[in-house]
Amino acid sequence: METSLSRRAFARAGAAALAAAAALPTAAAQAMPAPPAVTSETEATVSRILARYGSRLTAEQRQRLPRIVQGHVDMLQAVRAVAFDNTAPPATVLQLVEGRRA
Amino acid sequence: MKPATVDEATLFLPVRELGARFRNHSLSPVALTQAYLDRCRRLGPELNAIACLTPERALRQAQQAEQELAAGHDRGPLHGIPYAAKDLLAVKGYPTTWGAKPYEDQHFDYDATVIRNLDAAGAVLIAKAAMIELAGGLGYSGPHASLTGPCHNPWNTKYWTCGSSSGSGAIVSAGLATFALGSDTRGSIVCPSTQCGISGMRPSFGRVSRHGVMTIAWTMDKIGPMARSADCCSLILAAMAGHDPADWDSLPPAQAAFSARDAAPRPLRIGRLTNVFPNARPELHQAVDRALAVCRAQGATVSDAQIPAGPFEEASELVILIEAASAFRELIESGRCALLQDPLGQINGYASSEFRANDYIQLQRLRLELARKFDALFDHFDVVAAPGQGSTASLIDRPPRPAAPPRTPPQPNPQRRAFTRDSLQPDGISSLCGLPAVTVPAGLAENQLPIGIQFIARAGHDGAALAAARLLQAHSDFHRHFPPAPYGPE
Repeated sequence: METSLSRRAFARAGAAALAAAAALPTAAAQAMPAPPAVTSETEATVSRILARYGSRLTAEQRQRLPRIVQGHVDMLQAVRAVAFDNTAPPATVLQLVEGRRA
Repeated sequence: MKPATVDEATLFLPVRELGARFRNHSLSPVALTQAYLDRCRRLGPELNAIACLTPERALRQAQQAEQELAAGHDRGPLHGIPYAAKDLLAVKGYPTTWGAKPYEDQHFDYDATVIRNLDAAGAVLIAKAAMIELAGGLGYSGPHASLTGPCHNPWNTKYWTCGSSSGSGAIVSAGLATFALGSDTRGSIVCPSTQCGISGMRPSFGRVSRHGVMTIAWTMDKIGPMARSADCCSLILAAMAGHDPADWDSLPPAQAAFSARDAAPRPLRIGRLTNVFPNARPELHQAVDRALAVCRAQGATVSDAQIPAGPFEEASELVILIEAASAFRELIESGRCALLQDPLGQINGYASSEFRANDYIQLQRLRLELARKFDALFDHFDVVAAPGQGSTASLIDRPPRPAAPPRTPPQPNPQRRAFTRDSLQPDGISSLCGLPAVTVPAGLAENQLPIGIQFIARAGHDGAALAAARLLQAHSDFHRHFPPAPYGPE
């Protein structure tokens, strides 16, 4: 998630510092920080997005996209760093359908 | 006697008191409903709190309640009580916009299960409550991300209510209804309830049906009450809860049902979370400690506790992003996400569509690990307590921030084999585990905005969280403070 505009950071900061960007999108765009350093994963992901959806995006959105993706990658790296034993299961289970009405 | 007018103070009474007045004939459900509708028309637009009123339905239900009560057909504590429902719950005959431009003309030909449950309890639906677009499902960056505009906090209209159940928070706080329904995927009941100075509850996952409710994240979405007190929340939850075969994640009947008469744990064992909101202003933590002193004086035990450390905030955010990318796939693929108000929401779905299945499974493994660790905490405590939020309400309009310096790229460490990041706030973590939470007022900050305390309980032990909040409210009056006029009583 974009570092300056994430739900997580939004809650963490009590939303205080983050409301401005949406409240004043034009001003926020003018104050937009320089593109951050991004990882190769971010670059690859952004390339895929632009190849698929690039024609829909404005120049400002294209500029914003790497920050959003880098935010996602930052979060993923924290999660991927957790190691599990082979048998550690996910919190997703198959619920059998028999006897259940949709 | 049925008074022709209802005084303002009556509009701020809790469910039980209104019910008592109905039954001693000093107040009429029709008069109360009309008074709330009038107040909604007068103050709702100023606050941007209401998506639409449902006056025809409301008056029909109020008249029915009045007739039934007069005939001795008593449906229980919510009979004749007016409420609002967040505009992501389907209500036949009225638009259900999900707070978002792409769905502004959306109608459903059925009522959500919780609406039908409240119908059966005799409650009176008077309005659909404004909300953040898609409840923030594709991300959002502030109060303006709503079809109805930024929702103003009744305590100070320069400030926001928080989201995404923003209208629900303002409606209850400003006395536009006795209670409201909100939804909570990650804090969307707890935050606006706290920052609007009301009592709100996120039930255990699966306890309340989501049939007929917009989906953000199937494994995290919950529906819950926002009201005057924890006691009100308890009564409302009892009417809302129950197994629903139309919701795939609905708990079995015995686990889904909730009784407001469930006995409270005695003595109540409260764990004071010491590793959350480390950057919060001291007055927020001090308010929690004062509230817990009240509980301790009534026989509760209070001792320090810590939520498990790990990248759980990241995990909760990622689960939401990934599931929302699927839930809103049509919106994203069609390009209609460009119609959203929020510049982040307009494009975030494209980025969220690029996550890998392997990462989602990793998240779910992490989630189970956390659920086990968090559950072990409740071997020692009935509830854990923390500030309702890490700050008071935020200004709606703030000047833009100065440009930030370029960031250093993160350096992944393949040798890292343990949880290394501290958990800073309880919302994402407890939401990720489907735990119930109740937030109630704990006073006012120096800036005269509400502070809250939240109680989190073991999954399925909703009654414990409510019991802790009720214990506090039985021996304090934080929840009897209202916003200044005109949004509070004169």
